[in-house]
Amino acid sequence: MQKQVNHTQGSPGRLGMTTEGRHRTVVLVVLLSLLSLGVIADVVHAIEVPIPTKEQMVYGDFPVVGRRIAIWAIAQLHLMFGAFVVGVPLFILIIEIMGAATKSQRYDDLAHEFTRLLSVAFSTTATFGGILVFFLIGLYPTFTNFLARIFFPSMVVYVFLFFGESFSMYLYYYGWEALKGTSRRVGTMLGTAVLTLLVLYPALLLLSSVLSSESALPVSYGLAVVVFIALLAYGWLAKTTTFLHNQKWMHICFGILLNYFGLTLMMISNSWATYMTSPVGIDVNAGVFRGTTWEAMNNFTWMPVNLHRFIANIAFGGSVVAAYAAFRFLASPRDSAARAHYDWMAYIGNFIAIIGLIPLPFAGYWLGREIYGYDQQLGITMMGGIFSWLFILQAVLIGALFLGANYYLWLGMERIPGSERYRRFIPWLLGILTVCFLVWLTPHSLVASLEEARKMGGAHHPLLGVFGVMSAKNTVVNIMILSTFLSFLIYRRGNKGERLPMAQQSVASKITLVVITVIALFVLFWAQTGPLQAAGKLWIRWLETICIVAALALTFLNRGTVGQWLLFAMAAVVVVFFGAYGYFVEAIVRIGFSIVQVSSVLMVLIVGTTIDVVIFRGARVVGEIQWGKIPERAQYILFLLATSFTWLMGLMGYARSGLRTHWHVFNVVRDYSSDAFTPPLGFACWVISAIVLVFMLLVSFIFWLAHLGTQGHEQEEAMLHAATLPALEPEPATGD
Amino acid sequence: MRTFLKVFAFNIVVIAFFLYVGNSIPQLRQDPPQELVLAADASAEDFVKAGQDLFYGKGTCALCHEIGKKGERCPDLAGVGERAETRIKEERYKGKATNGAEYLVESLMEPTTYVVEGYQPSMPPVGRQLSDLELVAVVSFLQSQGGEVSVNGQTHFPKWRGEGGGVASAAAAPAPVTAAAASSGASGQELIQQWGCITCHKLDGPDKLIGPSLWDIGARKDANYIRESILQPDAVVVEGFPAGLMKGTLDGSGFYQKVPLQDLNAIVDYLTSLKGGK
Repeated sequence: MQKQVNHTQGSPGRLGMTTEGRHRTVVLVVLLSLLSLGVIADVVHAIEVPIPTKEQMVYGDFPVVGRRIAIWAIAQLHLMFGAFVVGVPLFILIIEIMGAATKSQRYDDLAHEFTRLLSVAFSTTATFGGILVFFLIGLYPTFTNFLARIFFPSMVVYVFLFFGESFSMYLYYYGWEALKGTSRRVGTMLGTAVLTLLVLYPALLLLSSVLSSESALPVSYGLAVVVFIALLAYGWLAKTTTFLHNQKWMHICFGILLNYFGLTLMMISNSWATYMTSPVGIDVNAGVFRGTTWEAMNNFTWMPVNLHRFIANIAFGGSVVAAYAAFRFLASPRDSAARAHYDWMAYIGNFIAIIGLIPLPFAGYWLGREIYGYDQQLGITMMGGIFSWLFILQAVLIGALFLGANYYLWLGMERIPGSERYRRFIPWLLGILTVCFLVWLTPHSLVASLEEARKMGGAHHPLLGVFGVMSAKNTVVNIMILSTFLSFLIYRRGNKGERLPMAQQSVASKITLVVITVIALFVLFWAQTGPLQAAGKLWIRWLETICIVAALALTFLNRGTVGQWLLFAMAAVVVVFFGAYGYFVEAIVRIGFSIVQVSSVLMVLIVGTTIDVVIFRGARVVGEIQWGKIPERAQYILFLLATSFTWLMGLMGYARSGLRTHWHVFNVVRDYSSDAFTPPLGFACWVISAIVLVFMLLVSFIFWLAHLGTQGHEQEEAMLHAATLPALEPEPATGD
Repeated sequence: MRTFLKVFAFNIVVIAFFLYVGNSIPQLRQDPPQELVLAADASAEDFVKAGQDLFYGKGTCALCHEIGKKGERCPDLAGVGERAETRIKEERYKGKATNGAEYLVESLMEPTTYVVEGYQPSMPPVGRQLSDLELVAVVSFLQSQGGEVSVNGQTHFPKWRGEGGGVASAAAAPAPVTAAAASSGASGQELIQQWGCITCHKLDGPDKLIGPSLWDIGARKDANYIRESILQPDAVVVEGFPAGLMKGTLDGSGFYQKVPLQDLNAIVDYLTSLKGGK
């Protein structure tokens, strides 16, 4: 009760902020803004940096393991912790917003618990970042100097953004309990207005660039002032309590800012790494880099890597959080409230990981395509050269992820009353996934002894060799995604009974369904027209349109599940058709088929999910989920997923970096050290395994530390949550 | 602690499995390409040979271009030496070249200036990673494909490489045309055994193994054909034998990265001397 009173009254002294302190903060913000403006000016200022020659290149030594492994391990560990720190805040924020929107304390507490893990991992990330910089300076001074001279302005921005991320993260974590309730005090309203403005600023900047691309920054400042005044006026004049008086909104703003800072930091550091693969602005004749820092940052592979890492970070963060919950589940007594709580937490973590995993191959395709687009040599080295075998190992890892994720969902159905109806699908799904997995890991050229090669008549198996090419790989990965989506749907509807007729669904739901379907159709047309035109198969587009419209019509006729089956069948036919057709066309046409396959599957994911959400709204609940009643082996699946994700990150780190072969900066700065060779995959696997092991041990230690300080409180929270654990869906159930 | 140890052991097993898979598949190590040190006064034949090595090695041209076969990604370069002379006269051509050699240099330095019909402008400016004399060598090799070699160590291409580069580089490189890596000193016969060629090719009889017999290869084919068959085994595949196997095997053994030019010449010379017992 006392807590509530405090929230309502506001807490001017809670954060210890005096008037003098506020003035100092304002001055600091103004100074930092001016400095930022100066740095921005520097980012667009053209510079000239000479490319170091063989004679100028200097290398440092590192005892025992050597410079390459030292920098490899530290960079990879920094990346892993960084991925966790950047990925986790996004879903924490979503969970917190879900909690605030549904007024559900359990989601709010879950988000808070995730944040606790985040805060302890943050300092470790920064420590590894510091070590990485020292190692770069000590072991690769000439090369580091070359990059630093090109990117220095962005490095200055990076440092300030890092401060921003630290401040927003600690405010977000420590302000969780303090920033609740409402207050009509001027200070609260002002603070919320400033934070809202900061949150809106990227949108204002985007709008400004549309209005006036040449002077987007000044226009955005003008717009910011207008918005700020409007916010203040709204808060001041409103007679009722608005979001500007809501301290929870203030807290959510800190969460959004934390994500902004994290993502921008990730993008800046990505620009340095991607420049090494796809450099721009090189004047070969003069032997210099000539251009602006921004031009160097905005290189060919920057955006694909940004997107790929953004999605992968979410998947990775979700899997690590799920592994943490799995460990706590196993450590809790059987049938305890804590076990039920951690089962739920693990499910949420894994759900987030799967949400990230499903679109990840698509982002990977885009990155691969851009690598090819930048330089065919790089692309061929990646897919047809020394790294071609790496993708077989990648297939094993991703296959393990897909099989593990599906198996966890199937095991999870054991705790859902009513899911028995859907278990008959599981053997079929397992069969499809296994076949797809086997096709995916079939190499083009088989490892064979001389005797075997003689019998086969070459390195290509007469039958299995057919599965080794991209047409087969693209087909099976899309089918695996569809199968996983189907597993998720049957899990989701496990305890759902009789559905409400569409006539009783809200107008908003129906409009949302139609709008999302139209958008999906638009995207489908946009993505597929080019490749289908090239193949002379534009009619496929119309076939898909008919199926989608039919699915929508069936949904409105209370046959939504039939509509979903229609979508699944359509996507499967499109995927298999283009998979087979790909064998009969030239490579340039075949490459376009992957876009058709991917967009068709994505469309099913989007429209299928929307239909599912709408038709099962308010459905009768057969029985509540028995949280904590999942078999213990399901938790080991979560460890498998987390370890596989981490290992896969290490493997793809080796691929991305190794792709440059004997170049520090591809085709620009050559590696003249004794480490210029590209190590074999087996050696890389040893290094990756060691890194993953160190990461796992460090994460265990960090989470143990996080748990240590909250042991008593956690037990209490778990008891509270167990009484209020949700059913599959947050919305209230109706019916009998 | 017991739970932790169980989970730790499980993770070790998972990691060990991936480690095992990673070590079970073919292991390829890629060394940096050998630098060719060329002299400006080297003969045209040496330049052509060096250019051929660059074509199939450091230049990575053969990743996309074929000679004597329509390429899926890039055009067939058979006859390019002759075509280069006429291409600059085409209406479509908008580049700076005034002769065939310049056209070839332009294609290496600014490949999108003229894109052959039916192909995408996907070629990277590979010429930028070649020294001036290496560029001359590649142009020599390309000109030798159906045309006459018109360049030498004194030729330079100021339109694309600035003034005086070629001559200056030549002066600074007094060594003869040779690989930077020292020759092993082994004979061609020894090298053939050392690199395991005899596993697939029979040298002392006409019987075929995995690959065709080479015991009379010198009577059937010339040195250039043999050299090309080693450097690009899939350019011409003898009927009835698998494509890709030899390339994969030599790639796997690191042959293309490690073999010095003299050793390659010794192998070619030895194979040229095999006349089927005659």
